[in-house]
Amino acid sequence: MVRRLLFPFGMAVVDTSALPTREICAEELDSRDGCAPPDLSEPALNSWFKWGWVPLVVGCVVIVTAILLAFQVALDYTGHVEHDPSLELLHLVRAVVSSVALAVWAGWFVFRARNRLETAREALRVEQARLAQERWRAEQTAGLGALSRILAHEIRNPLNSMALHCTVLRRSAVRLPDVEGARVREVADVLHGEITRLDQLVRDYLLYSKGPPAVELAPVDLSELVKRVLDVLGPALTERDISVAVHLSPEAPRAMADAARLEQVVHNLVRNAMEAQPQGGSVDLSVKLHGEKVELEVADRGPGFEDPDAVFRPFYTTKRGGSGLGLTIVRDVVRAHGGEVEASNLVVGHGARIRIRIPREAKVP
Amino acid sequence: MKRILVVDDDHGAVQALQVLLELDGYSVDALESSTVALERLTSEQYAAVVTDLEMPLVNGVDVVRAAKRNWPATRVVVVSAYAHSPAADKAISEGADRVLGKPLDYDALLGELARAP
Repeated sequence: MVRRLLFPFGMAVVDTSALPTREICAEELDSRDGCAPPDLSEPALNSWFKWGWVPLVVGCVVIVTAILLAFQVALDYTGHVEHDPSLELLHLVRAVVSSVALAVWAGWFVFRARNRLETAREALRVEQARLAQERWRAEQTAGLGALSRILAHEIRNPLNSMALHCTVLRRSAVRLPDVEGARVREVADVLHGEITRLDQLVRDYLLYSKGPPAVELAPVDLSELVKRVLDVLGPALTERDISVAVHLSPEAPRAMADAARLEQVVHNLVRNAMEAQPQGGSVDLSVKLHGEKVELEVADRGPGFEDPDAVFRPFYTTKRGGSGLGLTIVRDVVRAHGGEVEASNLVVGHGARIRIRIPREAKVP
Repeated sequence: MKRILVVDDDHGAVQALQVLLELDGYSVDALESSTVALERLTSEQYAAVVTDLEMPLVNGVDVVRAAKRNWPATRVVVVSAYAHSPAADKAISEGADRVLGKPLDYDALLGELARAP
């Protein structure tokens, strides 16, 4: 939005597009102690610039005209100028024109000052809005951290109890006749799946709320890392009838990375590919060298991403019950390694692919 | 039969753990009060103590300390919603043998209890 400030002798154009579109400065900041921005209106100065020019200009015209006329009259009476009534009108006009010119100059000076003040004030507003936005984000992050810790305690405790009771159910099912026993085990499995899903949500929130991850680099055997992830996800992959084809280039068995963080990345990518294919399918996982970087790619045969550019955005999800943080965590960890990540579809509307690249000899930014 | 002390202020967790451990052949004392657990540990020896970490009044670190001070051979397993936290580190420094996260992996717990004297 471009706001045009119209003045009688000029026009200031102030670009206000940089102002935050989210209205946080009024209601939200006012509702938080210490967050409300200071009053920038400066009422006295503002009203002077708004209306003060009127008496200034009129005053200039009157005073200068009076001085010029008085000077002319004085000259007439002292005989320095021959008294000629026909010239009196001319003197009057000349005096008025001179005074108006002077007033115009004074007015232009005032309006230029006002213009500059308005521009500076607008820049200050933008800067304060930006600072308020940053503070709001910092508070959001801190709040999310506190909320996540509460969630971890208040949700994981009942989840723990439920998980243990699921195990009790499974054990009890052994003593039941086959049909009833199978039904009870089925119920226990469904419950356990939901418990695992909720626990994963809490895990994601906790990880994300800790902010950008710190990485400790050490040589990592990527083939071992991939194997560990597939071991952990193996039962879930089998249950969903999903096969995983691993393509490990012999040139890229190792990289300097944070093993635990990178394992989380691969885990999230494979889990994401798995959850995109609830009716079964396949996942291709490849690791190879790409210049000085190690490239890891996970592709599935699911429906693909609706919006590949949005998938790394926090809380963006198209899955039921997803945290919307799994791929955000992937992005943050990869960036912490000095790498990059990209999402795309194999073909339009089919098959999602995520590719990460980290320096083989990682340079942490 | 190994004697196990289970301490957790969550009634459901204590109840389920007692049932499961008894099914697996352990003798279980299940307590929801960590204060009572401290008293119990002054007079009774257990093969293993399974304790929650975050509890009101007396927390799991105090239970670990009491168990290890009175009965150094007792295996102590801490179960916590925050498996990687300063409190969990403190429990380890006080002598806890293992910290397991919640929701509890029951098979991992059985593995720990199998090592108890």
